[in-house]
Amino acid sequence: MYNLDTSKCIQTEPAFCKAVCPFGLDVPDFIKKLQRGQFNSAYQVYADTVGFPEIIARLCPALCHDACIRVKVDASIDLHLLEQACVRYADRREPPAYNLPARGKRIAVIGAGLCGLSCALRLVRKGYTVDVYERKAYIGGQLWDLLPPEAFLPDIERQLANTCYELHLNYEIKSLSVLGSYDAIFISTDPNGQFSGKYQQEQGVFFKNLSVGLGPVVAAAHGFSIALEIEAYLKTGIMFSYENRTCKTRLCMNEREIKSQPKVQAGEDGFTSEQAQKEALRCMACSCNACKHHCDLMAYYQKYPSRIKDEVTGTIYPSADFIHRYATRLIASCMQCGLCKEICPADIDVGGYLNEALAELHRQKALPPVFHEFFLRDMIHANSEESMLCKMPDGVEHCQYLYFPGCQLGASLPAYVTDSYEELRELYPDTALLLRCCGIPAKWAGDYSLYRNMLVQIENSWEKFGRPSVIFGCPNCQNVLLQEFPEMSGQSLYSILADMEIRKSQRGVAAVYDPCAARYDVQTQNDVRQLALRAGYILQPLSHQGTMAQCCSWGGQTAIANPSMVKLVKKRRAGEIEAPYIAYCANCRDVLASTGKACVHILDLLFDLGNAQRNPPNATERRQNRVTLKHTLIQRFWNETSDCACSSAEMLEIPAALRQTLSDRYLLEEDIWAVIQCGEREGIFIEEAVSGARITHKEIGSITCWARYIPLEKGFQLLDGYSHRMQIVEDRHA
Amino acid sequence: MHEEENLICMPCGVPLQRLPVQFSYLGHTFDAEAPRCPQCGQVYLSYKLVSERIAEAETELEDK
Repeated sequence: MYNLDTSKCIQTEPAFCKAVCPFGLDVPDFIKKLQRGQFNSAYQVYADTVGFPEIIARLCPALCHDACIRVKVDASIDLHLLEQACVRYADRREPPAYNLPARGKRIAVIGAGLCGLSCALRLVRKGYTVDVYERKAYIGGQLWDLLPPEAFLPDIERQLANTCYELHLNYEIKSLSVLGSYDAIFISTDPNGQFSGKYQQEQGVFFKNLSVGLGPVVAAAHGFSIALEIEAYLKTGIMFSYENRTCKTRLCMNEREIKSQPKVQAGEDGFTSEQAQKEALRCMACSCNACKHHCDLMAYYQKYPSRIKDEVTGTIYPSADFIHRYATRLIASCMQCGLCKEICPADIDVGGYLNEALAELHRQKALPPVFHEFFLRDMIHANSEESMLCKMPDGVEHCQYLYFPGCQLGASLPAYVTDSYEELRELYPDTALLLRCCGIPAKWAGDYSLYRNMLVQIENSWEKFGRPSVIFGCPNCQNVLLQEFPEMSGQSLYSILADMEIRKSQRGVAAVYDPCAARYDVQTQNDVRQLALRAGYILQPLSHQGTMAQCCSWGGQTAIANPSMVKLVKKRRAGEIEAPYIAYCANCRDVLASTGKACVHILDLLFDLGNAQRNPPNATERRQNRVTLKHTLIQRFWNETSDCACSSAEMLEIPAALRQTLSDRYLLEEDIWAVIQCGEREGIFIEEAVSGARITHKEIGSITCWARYIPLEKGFQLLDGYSHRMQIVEDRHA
Repeated sequence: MHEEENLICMPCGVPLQRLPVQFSYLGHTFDAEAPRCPQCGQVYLSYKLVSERIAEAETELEDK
């Protein structure tokens, strides 16, 4: 199966500031506490990381300043002043009263500068016994050249207050042999000094491995690293080398998505506590969350690609002892819009992976059939004798063009297809017509065998017409067929009609809603905008458009697998701006209009058809529209007559509100009619003694449909229709 | 009056009774009580039952 390479994912990469900090301070955690005004908690994080917080807060070289992504937008977060504010406003600054129990290991540190003291501090807190040797009469080393003693001696005293270590001043070590027995020794004096080149191969002897002149803060951080090396050595007997704590980060963020927020101006004494909190709030705690930010599925599940991969793997290859396919719904919830790959800096294609996973679940027969059955039946209907049409204009043997409107354009409004085909026939009289589904519902259902079957049928028709250039009315069909048949040429209907005359009027502000399937079809995106402008609209951009287009919720046909997510997505899309939308995908148009959002299809403008408020047809009406469309086309363009199949409409009365309810429950009126017919024919139903209403049920595919109805003089009136997925075992109706 | 007494099985012509009904879904089977004809076994599931308890159980099994 397709593998998702999540090793490329940069979600766990350190923030830019953390990566350059000599101590590797967890800046996002530190800042989060400052944002809440929790100076004591922030101080704990800071002190635990840097050892001597008051000294480091003064001398910090603020390498993070240039690393902060805000420097490209407004101004870096002033972390240096925030460190100082943290130290100033924390009122609980005492070090831990208890350290770990003594471990019975002795370490000698030679040199009581900030590097040696930092190493000693970390080791004594971990329970090691430390002796510090200093040739001078005082501790602090180069700090004396940088700060007044009252600025650093109290901090050193405070941090080492509750620890057991011995300080030997005026004690120059010329040879390690004078030290006696230690489990490890750290020579924290100048690397070019008296120990240069000596004891290099000695087990348990560690050196300050720094270029001179990097400053006391880098030296202190180095001391901490040496403490880690010593601890590892004492536990394993191996001398590991911890590199400088600063590390590289692969993190990248799009600064164009960052909102500018001016830097908080500090007074002469630095930030007040309020100013510090405000400045901290400018920090975005940088981490890559592009997928969770843009992808509806990852936002809904609050999961990143690596977690998704783990869960999907466990679902597809469950343990033989404990089969728990817990990510099935997640797998079936992907809208297959391709945005995740587009926005991921590491090109991680979660959508492609989930479609492969879906196919695997389908192959294993582990996917609840009901998730896609309704949509697959719709596809079969679109490709049935009732709805499908595959015809060349009369008298034509080879066609230059083939119009492929897709199955949903005419289902939404038959005139979208009839009027556009009429226009095409005027432009190119030899344009053939192939009215059917492209097969994408089968791909979205993970049924690749069915999908390939659909493609073969389309290819045969295309070959029969003489391999014409294809004009697509549906961006999904265009996407699928041009991808699957590289030798096929084609373009969208909306580009072909880009120069058509359009009635201009004062239409106000609107936004073009790019369908996800047209993400890379820049030509059509521009042509539709030009048409909208010529129609008299003032265009407003959407947050996600062009290559960033988000799915309207139709993609992947996930509405039955995950109705709550789809509901959220629809609401989010429709609510982004107040202005109406202009769509050029019939699915987008109808999905958005179903929420009450004003939305026109670009063909509404070109041919003066529907309006932005037109209610989208329900599931049954969509089928009826397809059937009607086929008959209209045959009559208008081929001058042939045909009989429209009789539907249940004459025999079954359904109140308008119930019609919508049935559609919302993914129930077709013809199925409900079949249930009633079956019950009545066999005389098997339940009668409510009080109301006289009858109730009967029947399995249709993988669901059981129920109808509650009353008999009329002629026919029936439906009172309710519903379904469930569970099967009733030993049912009389089975 | 119990719900079942208002429900008459056709063609048996007798009121339904609360009786065990076996359900199966995605390879799992389990029993529950529901109105059922004591003679022919015809079952009645109300919209309320279907949209609440049954839908909940279906979701649980799909996520298992």
